Amino acid sequence: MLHIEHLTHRFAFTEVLTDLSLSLSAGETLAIVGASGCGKSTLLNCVSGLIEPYEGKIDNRFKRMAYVFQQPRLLPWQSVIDNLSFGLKAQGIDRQERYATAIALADRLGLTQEDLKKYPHELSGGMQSRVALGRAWALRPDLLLLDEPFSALDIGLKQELYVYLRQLINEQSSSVLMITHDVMEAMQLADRILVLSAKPGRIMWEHRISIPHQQRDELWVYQQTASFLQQPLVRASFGLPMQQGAALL
Amino acid sequence: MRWFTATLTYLWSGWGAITSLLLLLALWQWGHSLYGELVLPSPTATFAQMLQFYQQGKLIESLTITGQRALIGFLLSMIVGTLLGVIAGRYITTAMMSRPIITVLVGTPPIAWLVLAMLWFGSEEATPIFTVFIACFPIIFIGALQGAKTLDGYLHDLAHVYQLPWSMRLGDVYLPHVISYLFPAWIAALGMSWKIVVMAELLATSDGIGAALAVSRSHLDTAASMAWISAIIFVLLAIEYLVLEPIKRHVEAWREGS
Repeated sequence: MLHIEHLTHRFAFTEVLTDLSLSLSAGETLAIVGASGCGKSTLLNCVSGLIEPYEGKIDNRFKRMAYVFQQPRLLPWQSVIDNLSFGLKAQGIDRQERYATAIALADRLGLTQEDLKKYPHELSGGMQSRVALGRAWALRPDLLLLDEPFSALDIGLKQELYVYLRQLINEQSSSVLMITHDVMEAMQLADRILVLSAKPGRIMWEHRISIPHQQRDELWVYQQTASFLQQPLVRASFGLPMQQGAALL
Repeated sequence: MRWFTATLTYLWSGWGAITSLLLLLALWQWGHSLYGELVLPSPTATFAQMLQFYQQGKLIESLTITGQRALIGFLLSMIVGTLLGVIAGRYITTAMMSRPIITVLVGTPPIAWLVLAMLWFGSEEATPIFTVFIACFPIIFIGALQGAKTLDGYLHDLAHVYQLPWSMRLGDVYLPHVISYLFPAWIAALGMSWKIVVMAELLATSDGIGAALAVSRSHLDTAASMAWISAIIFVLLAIEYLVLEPIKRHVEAWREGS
């Protein structure tokens, strides 16, 4: 379980997050959406312990966290198999066992035996993202933190990774805290969506999705996203014009 | 097996290099036919002279002396430059302060250092070694500084998020990163050291290849001079293609475009 109470964070004199409270229960996927620069990444960094919050309380009862960064951030001097099993090595698991886990994971993620020997620069962007996801997954996390890991991928690759991600989440019934600026992504993957406004970041809107993930098809995602974006507060958070019927340009 | 085929491919790729070197020899021969023995001795005369030096034992002796000086100077530079560079790169103040100093060191011509070294150490062993050391130092220092400076940021985040023990932080993350900056610097410095040592010997010592070159010049013995110069170049080529390049290929296999 994760409880955040009255979290406020500032860099020098700029307040990036204001009085933010949220909680995440076991097995839940919570998406935080908002415009660029609304403090989403700061929130994630506070949860992961990369930065110390200025004010407020973070009560994190999850035991094994894993983090997927915005860029794949693989170690360029290590082969794919070593990158995949990198987190396991840190836990002191012996080579044979962690390689076995990596091989099984690679298979799940559609990477071939050949790919395992390659260095990251020999992989395409989509494959690098898959390895980054696999590296986090190898730890069997009970809390997965996602910092827009799919934002640089095209729509087809995104969809492919969503499928892998959902499968893995369901298998281990992990909780996920994901941040994204892509409302459709949140609509497809999350159980609950929180909208952050920019400068300073505060929660403007909460949206629960009760339909199971398997039943969300493309049309549903489009329609839900469209009606979600009708909400005046959501529009304001993203800096969209208030008149909904008007032509965009 | 993979290693074996890689070696074969590498050796096979040597044919191209040999062809262009042979072309250079042809040009040399042509120059000889234009200007005669005194200005440009023929390749055959030069290699005959070199063979003679070899039979007299002078060639190996001089190469050993010169090689030792270059290597000592380089190793000193490698140790000191790496240590100081990494330390300087860890702190913003030292990184900023060392920048202009390094610019001065890089900008100072090696011949100026040689003059100073001769004043300080006289015609002793220390003169060429010091000159090599000081010429290599800024190259290695900058490599180490850049490597250490760029350690923060994502590598640090990664190490933190994945809760790496210190042994892994060092062995799997920080060291490979710093070495990826250091290695090209070491290579560049090693190539440099060989050229600098010959220059230093020419002016400052009574033995070694540089000194032998100075003697042949004073005797107006062009064939001997060309023989020594060829020997220097042979060693340079051998180091580059038989030692450095294979190491580079092995160590930097993970690099893009290698």
